[in-house]
Amino acid sequence: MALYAFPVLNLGIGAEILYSFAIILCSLMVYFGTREIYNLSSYKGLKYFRLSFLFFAIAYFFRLAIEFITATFNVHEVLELYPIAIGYASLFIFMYFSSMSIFYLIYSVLWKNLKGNSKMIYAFHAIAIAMALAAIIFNNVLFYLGLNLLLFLSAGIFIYLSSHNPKFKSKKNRFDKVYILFLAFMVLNIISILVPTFLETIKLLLYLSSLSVFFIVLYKVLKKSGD
Amino acid sequence: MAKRGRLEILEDTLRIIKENKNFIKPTVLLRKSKMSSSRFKEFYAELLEKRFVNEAHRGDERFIELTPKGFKFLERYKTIVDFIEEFDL
Repeated sequence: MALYAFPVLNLGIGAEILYSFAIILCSLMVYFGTREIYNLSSYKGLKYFRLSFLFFAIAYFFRLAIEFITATFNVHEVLELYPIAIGYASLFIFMYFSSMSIFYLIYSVLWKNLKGNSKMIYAFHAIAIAMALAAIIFNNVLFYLGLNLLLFLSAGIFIYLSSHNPKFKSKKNRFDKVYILFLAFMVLNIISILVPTFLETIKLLLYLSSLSVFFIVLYKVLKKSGD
Repeated sequence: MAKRGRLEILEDTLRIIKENKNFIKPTVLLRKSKMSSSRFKEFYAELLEKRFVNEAHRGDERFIELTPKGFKFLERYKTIVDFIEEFDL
């Protein structure tokens, strides 16, 4: 179906708050639901997996803040009153934490292939900071879309290659399809906040799909962690 | 998979202690764990530091016993390994 066939939906701040709240809750449930098995094992992969969800919860908290500010006040008025401080700081924090949540998810799968080289995570922090700064400096829709497309493609390739490495192939079902779907929705959600008009027509569909993927991950996590 | 190896070694070692009525001499544990002396020393220090085991003294002799955390690890070991495999971590 063509995109223009969908009615333009204005979900309103209530729905946005509810959606962000559900994502924050799911992310925190994953983080705290895996606390015991991490404390017992001190397993690095588990550490990065948990951090990914913690960072995603923080990013969504700031997403909520950005939406609340833009919905409640006129952005230009806010920026005039508090130059840079609110709007740009929220955008920077959102971009940094959401990019890092994706990088931590990649690293949770990738770390065992790096033969003890844990310095790569610092490179990911540097890239996330650079992306957050670029999002503020280059106030351009195409730049945002290109950046996020690049982020998704590199994340997908990393996870696909890592989970198809025969040396580390696990005996059980592959989870990489859900990971890639999960990454896609993470990236689409970043785009939806940076370029609100881009996904306006399919926002409700995006939110419902995102929540479905999150619920699948949450269900798997809680079932497997035994909590 | 060095880290996975570490978890397996941890499980084996704690299980040896448990199966020895939770009271074992360090020399016996070293022999049963099939580790080199230097590797065992390093690993044993980690077990103490992370509070998986305690040292108990009976007269002049030193024994090793599991802590509640050690028992908990054995109880949850399968869940931990299944989780790591399920999510490819």
